[in-house]
Amino acid sequence: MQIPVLHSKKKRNAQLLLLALPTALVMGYVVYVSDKWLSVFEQPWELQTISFILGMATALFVFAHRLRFVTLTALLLLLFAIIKAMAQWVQPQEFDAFFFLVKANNYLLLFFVGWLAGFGFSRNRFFSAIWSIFLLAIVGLVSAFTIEPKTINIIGSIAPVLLYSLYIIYTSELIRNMNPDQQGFGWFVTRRLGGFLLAAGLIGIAVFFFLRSDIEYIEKTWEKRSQTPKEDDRQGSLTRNDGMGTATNPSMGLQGFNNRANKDSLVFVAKLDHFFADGVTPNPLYFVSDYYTYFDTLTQTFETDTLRPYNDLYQPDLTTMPLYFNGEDTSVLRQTMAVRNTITVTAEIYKKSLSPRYFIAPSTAFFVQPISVPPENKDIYKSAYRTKMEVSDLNSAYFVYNPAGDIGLSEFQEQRFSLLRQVEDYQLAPEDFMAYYTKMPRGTDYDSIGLLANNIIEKAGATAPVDKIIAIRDYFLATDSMGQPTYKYSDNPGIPGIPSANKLCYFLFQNKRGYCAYYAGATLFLLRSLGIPSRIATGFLTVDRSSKNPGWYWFYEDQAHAWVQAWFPGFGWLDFDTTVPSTESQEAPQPDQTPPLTSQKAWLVANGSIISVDTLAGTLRMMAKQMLYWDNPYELIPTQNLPLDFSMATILKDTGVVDKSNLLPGIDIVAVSFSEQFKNLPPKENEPWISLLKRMPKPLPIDEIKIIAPVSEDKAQAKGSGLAGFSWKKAAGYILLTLFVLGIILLLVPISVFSWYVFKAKRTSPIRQKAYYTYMASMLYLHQLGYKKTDRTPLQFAKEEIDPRFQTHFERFAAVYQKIKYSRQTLTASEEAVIFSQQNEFLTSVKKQLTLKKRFISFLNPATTIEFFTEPNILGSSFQKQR
Amino acid sequence: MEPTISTEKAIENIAKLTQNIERVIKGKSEMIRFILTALLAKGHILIEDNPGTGKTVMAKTLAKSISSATGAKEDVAQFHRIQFTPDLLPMDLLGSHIFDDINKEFIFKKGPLFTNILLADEINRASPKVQSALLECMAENQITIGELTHVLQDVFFTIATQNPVETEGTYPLPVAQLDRFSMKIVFGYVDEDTELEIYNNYLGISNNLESTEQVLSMAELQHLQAETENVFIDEEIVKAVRNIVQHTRRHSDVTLGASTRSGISFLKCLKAFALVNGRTYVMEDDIQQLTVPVLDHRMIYRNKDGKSNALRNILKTEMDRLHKVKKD
Repeated sequence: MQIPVLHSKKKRNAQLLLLALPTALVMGYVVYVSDKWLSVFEQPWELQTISFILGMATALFVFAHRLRFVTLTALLLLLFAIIKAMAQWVQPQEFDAFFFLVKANNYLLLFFVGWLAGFGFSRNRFFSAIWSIFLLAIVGLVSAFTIEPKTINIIGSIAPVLLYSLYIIYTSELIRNMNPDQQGFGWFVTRRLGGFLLAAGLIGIAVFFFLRSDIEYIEKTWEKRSQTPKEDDRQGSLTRNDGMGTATNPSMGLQGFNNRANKDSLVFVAKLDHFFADGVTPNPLYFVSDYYTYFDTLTQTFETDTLRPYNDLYQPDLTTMPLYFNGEDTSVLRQTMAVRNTITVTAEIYKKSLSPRYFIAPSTAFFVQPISVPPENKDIYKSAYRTKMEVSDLNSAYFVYNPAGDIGLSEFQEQRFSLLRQVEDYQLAPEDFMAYYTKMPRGTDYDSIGLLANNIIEKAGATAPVDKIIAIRDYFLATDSMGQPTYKYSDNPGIPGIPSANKLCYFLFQNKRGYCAYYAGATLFLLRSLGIPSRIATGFLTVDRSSKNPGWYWFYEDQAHAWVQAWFPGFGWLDFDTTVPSTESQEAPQPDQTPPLTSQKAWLVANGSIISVDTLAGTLRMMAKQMLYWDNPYELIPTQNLPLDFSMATILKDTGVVDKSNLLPGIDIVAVSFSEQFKNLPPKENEPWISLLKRMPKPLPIDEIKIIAPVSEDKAQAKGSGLAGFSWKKAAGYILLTLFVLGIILLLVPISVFSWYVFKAKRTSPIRQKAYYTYMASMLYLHQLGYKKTDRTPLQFAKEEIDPRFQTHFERFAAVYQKIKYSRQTLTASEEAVIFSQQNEFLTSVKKQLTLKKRFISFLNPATTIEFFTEPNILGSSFQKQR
Repeated sequence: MEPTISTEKAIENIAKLTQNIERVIKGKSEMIRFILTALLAKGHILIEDNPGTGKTVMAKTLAKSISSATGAKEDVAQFHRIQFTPDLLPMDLLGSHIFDDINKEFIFKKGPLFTNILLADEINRASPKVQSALLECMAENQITIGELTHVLQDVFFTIATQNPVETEGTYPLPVAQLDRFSMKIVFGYVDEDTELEIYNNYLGISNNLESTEQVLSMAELQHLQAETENVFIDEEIVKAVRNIVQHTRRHSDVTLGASTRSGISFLKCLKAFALVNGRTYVMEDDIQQLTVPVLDHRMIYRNKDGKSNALRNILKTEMDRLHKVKKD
């Protein structure tokens, strides 16, 4: 059977070459950038693009024939369904159907998108526009999540698709209107596209050239702003700009590593003053950044509870705290309800790629003091703080580790478990506290988890809560008859992100492979179904690898982790890690490095605002509000005018070293001194600050000044459009100016074209050409004023409309023009005179009869001029439905 | 090319002829020009309209203007009129062999086709075989019966009339045969004033048809036809004709476009029309006015919309291009 052809071969080839090929390239780019963000696309992007191309090419070939879209698409979808059914039918013993399905879904989806694209290009006139918007939206979304907000990056990521959009809309229209019989179509298209690319290139160069300084300015403001992130962007993507380039978000442990965690990328360094009883062996602790306490049944995901009942998480904003001034919140200690076996531990944290405002510490921290990074280490570590926490002496990374066969570790753990066995039930625990931390959603999925939990503890014969936890841990560590572990560690279990309930069921009962968040989530449900209060903690897993520097720990990106905390009456929250060890190389191979030098002792810290600065002399006067001297805080009331000598000081702003010129009157600063002069000047017992100040040398020698961004300005910026208002105004001004100039140029088109004809008519001497320019000038003038020739000949037009209307002799001129144009006869003298006089006589006569207003307004309309030069469509109207 | 004496004479003659006919046929000067154009282009014309719009009078007047009782025999145009009916046979047109009793042999009795001006009235009433016989003669200018070939007159001009195709009892002419006509025009009714004038004329104030005089001899007519060939036609005009003809073949509302023969016929008519209008060169207005009469009947349209618009749109496009063309 011969299927009727809709598009000629030539047209189809043009579609393939000019539409499909660029689309495939851009789609490849889109898939490639999407890969950076969406882990669904975890297959190689080349193969995905090929799948898309196959879909599109098939559709273009098929729909070049007179075939039905709905029927074919239905058949295609049926084929997809059959493929998937087949995959499920071939059982997953050695053939992992799930992985196949995830892959197949991905490829089939792309094939289908390609199929739709092919259909659209083949049949739908407006498809190119819709398609462009679709691609732009995808790229916009992806870039919003992945790239640094630098102008060049944004332009770089959007520009290809933007250019493609313009191209595809233009070209598809060109091809749609192409006449297959037309000769030299290829050359015509090449010319047009060449012109198009030239124009695009010129615009691009012009943008860079003229707006370069503005772009740089905007970028600077952007950077400044992003260095003081707002309160609400705590949660977010895995990596994002936090002021100093990409910073790791510590909640990434819960989101999964997905091969993106960089093993070699250092996040922070911590010195933890926590040792075993021998005082030598370091006792590492997990570092907590947040708790996931609440399971949202609506979204089926774990969340940090926004209300935070029983909050024991200390969350100071470090950027708003002056250096060396303490922050403390002991209320968190009460919330843990830990009364037994607690000790206070101090730690120092040096952050490298962690946001400067971010606070992370072992639980339960209650104290923080920002400290300055030693100058020698400033190029690596951006900020640092000291923290104190009250930890249970039962808590230890070794304690929560899976012993995994290590006998020493098992024994160590067993000692502690025996202590915990004293807790037999939770009868003494507060009721609402228990209700909150054992809250478990209902449903078949959750019931089956509960059933599993009961089976596990029955098998183990566990009664005490701690035994139940151990039974669960052992359940995950169990091996089958072949000696193979039932549960395996996998960075890529197929479904990324925070596991939802059905993912957890799938993990528990079928797939049995996952990363820490899976184990933590599953354990949480198992524990809660047994009535043990528990929550998920996210943060960093601590590995002790160094014998050279005991107490120093290095945290790399792949140490982001999620685990479970269970609560024991009296003991408080204790860490439990049920994640099975990875059979792959989960142990971090990076060596520990040299720790940063210990911070110098800050003898004097003063906090206040600058009154006056003498940059040359290196002195300034500040109005001090608070003072720390030998770690004793003093409230200076009334505020004191202190002279400072900053000639040797480093000036810090945010986390970078800046020039002295940044010290301006009115801004808030923290001045720090490590000077020996103060070391020899200890404060006396109960000495008031007034006498202390009198004893100090003047001006005060200062070693470090930190500029604190004024809060009010920050708020004003936040209220504004997001960038500094000035640059927006300037940009808007440029845009308006450009639009204005463009508008003026457009408005001047009619008069310019007309003037050109008049000029040519006056200057050209050959009578034939003179007649031509005179004729065009007259016709354009009349057309512009609304007297259009329409489908009449010039002679008819002159005779029927112009001459009766204006009492002119346009017909005479038109006749002579026809003669000079189409005959080879020489003109008589009188005929020549007609041509010479036409310009002045006719136009002046017409002008006189029309009001200035009408002439002026008519000549402002470039559309009429364009209409004059546009050839009418052979099909009559501009749009005719294609059959 | 400057107008020569003979061209000027030709223009003068054609003006005389036009005026002469216009005296009889009122308010139809455009139609008269079209008919004269077909005559000068050595073509034939098909007039389509309802009965009683003056088609026959038109033909008669034309014949009388060239022929008269006075003047030499060969200088007088012969005029025949045939009323086509369904039972008409080809030999009624062509003539037949009749047995001569005196000489005892068959002699050929010429039919009405052997004439200068033939009025074929209501051509679509006759059966197809008669139609084709007539159209054959129009194309070949000769008649072949048996072994003998009879050449028709040098000047052989057919004015065929037909009722609108929708009328009952007709055999519509196929496009292939319509192609033989250089032009097809629709006569149409006259306006109010002209109609009153015609009635007054009939009421005997002066019977113009009776008093029509011969203004042109056959030799002069043949000279006019020869002179038509000398009319100058510019390259741009030829291009415009080419474009129009090509456009008709591509237009989506046209199933059968104009042929190359029709293009040639178009050029001939353009030249003739220029001369009829007293010019020795063809210009834009000629194309504008002739495109529909020359091409419309040779095309088959997809639908009514196409019939009323396609050719006009093509013409408009081409005219718009043409009027802006710059010539060096």
